[in-house]
Amino acid sequence: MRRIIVLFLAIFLVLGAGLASAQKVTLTVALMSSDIPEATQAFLDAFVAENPDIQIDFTSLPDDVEGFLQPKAASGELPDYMSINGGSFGAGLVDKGLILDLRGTFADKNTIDAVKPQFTSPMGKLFGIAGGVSTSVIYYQVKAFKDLGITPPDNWEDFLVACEKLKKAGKTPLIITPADGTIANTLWSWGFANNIVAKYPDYAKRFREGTMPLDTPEFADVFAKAKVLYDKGYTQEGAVSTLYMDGNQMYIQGKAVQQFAGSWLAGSLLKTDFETGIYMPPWNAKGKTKVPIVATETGWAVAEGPHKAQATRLLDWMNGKGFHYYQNARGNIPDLKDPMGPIKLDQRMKTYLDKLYSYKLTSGLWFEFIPAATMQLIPKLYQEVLLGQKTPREAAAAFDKAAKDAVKK
Amino acid sequence: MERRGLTEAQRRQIVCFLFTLPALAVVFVFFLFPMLRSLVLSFTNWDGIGHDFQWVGLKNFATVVTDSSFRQVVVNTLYLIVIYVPVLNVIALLLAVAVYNSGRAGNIYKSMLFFPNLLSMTVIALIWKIIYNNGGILNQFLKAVGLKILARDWLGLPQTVLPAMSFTIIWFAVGYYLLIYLAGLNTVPVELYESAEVEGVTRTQKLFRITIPLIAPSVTINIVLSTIGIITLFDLPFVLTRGGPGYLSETLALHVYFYAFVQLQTTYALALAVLLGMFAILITSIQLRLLRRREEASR
Repeated sequence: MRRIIVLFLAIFLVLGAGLASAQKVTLTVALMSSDIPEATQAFLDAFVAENPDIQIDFTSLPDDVEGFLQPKAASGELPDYMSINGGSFGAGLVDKGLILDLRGTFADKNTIDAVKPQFTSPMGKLFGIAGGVSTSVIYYQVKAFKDLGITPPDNWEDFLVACEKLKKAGKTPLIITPADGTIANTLWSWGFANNIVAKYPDYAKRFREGTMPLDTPEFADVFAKAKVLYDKGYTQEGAVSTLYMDGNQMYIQGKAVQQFAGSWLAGSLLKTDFETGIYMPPWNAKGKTKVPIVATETGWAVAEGPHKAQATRLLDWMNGKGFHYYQNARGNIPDLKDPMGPIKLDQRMKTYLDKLYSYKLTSGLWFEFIPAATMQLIPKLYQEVLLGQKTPREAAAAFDKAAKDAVKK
Repeated sequence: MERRGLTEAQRRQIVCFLFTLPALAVVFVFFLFPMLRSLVLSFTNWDGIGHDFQWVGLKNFATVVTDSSFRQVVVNTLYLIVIYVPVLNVIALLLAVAVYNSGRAGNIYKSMLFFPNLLSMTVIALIWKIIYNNGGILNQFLKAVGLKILARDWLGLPQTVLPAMSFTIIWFAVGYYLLIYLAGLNTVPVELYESAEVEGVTRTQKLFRITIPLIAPSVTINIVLSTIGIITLFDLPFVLTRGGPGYLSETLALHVYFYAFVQLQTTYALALAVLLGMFAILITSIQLRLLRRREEASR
């Protein structure tokens, strides 16, 4: 008799658990979060706690968001909620009806307008909500600068003088990371901003139309600046094969005085054992006004599908009550009208932002406007230029051809 | 109950066919269909996401082949085949002969040599990345023993990147090919060696006159497998160098990946994948033909 009761109880419990889980919706969530795994888990847990009808099947995305999403889009298996970058890839997805047009959502209304054009398709659809404002900066060891009487340089010529002083003092002046695509966030984007954007403020439109003149001395100089730094010995040993993560670690370990990296790394690079300062990359010529980078962080999108209502709820939560979980971990620059929670922004970054927002002309980051077909080219061309296999002018010509071919295709 | 019109043999054939159907279905769905679909799409302008496309003929193939990086990528793949296949097979064969019949010590050597095969190629690449890095173990060792002049950015220089990569692949693969040679050595009659010894034949003569001719099928398998391994090599260069510096360590398979998932030019990736497949079939067919001829000659 006892056995029968136990058996019935077991069946009852199993059925009960099955029914309970059947009522829940499982959202597939894929986020680029390898740098903040604990915080990601924390905000997903917090969301689930507030939304007991939802459970989450989470995947951490690699850095190349598009490479992950493209085959999933082709096979109709996009995650319900996903990371997405501004630019042509997401625009293609929304115009094909694979992801939602987010206009009118709470997330849309709570986000500042400045970060929306990069996430808007040619058909005017809002395909993603930016995770914040981004830029890239030069992080530097304050003590090393003070000891050598260096003040943060304001133009390219002064930057070279500062690097020379550091080199003579036996220090490695600057870390660059041309082994992967992240060099495009720094040397390429700042070079492009200061050499090209001032002359062609409508650069994004020109890229789309294939009319951006890039086989020029000004664009060649974007590559030439890296060559100058490398040839003069201002970069770390083994610079050509240094990856993004290696470069960050080298700076944290104090192996170089400066690191050219994204504002999204403020959460780790401003918390070094030594005092770190930040300044605006002086990629402008002496006497010329800087054109700084004001761009978007990787954002979030919602797939068209049976769970779009629940995924939109997560989107609204991430761009409202839940934003601080993500922001506090990254220390990045918020883009919300009302962050609805405690924002942690380093005072150094606040000061930097006040200055950054005072510039009238700014530029985006590379991935927001160059054709996807040319993305892989940037690190390859830098590597070839640094090793002397291509001249900066040849690199510019190769990029020009690839950008125009991509539009023709 | 006997069906009219079918002989016993025919019925047996039908039953056999029915038994193989599930396996054939798996092969068709997961291998043949994707392959044929890729072949068809390589002649179109499919964008990799939607369902619409138009025929473009050989345009994708022409674009891929005339791309400035294509030549370098083919040269890299051929370089790896030329260096890796002979060196790997010579080392594996010599080690197999050395450890064959070496008792317990031989078993320890075999286990040690096979150990890298238990790890994923990604793990191997990460380990060797740490070794080759500018501040890595290799350079630290060279500096410690007074050979600072030899320390360099092994993965960042045109002269060293492919040799460094080749060394890693050989280190990884030698145990696997050694096992195949050992299996071949097991088929050689011991009496032949005993007779040869009586005749006063030297070790080198035994190797070239007895061992190699008699394990010719193993040589054929190893050469073909190692060539296919290089033609389809992806994970090691992806983790170790991402094909850099420039395109100097990019293999054909890695080039396909970059087209498909970084540049998002799916049809170019498919066209190159078709060329890669044809290249693999061509090279291995030539090898098989030559090696089979040699096998027959040595019988």
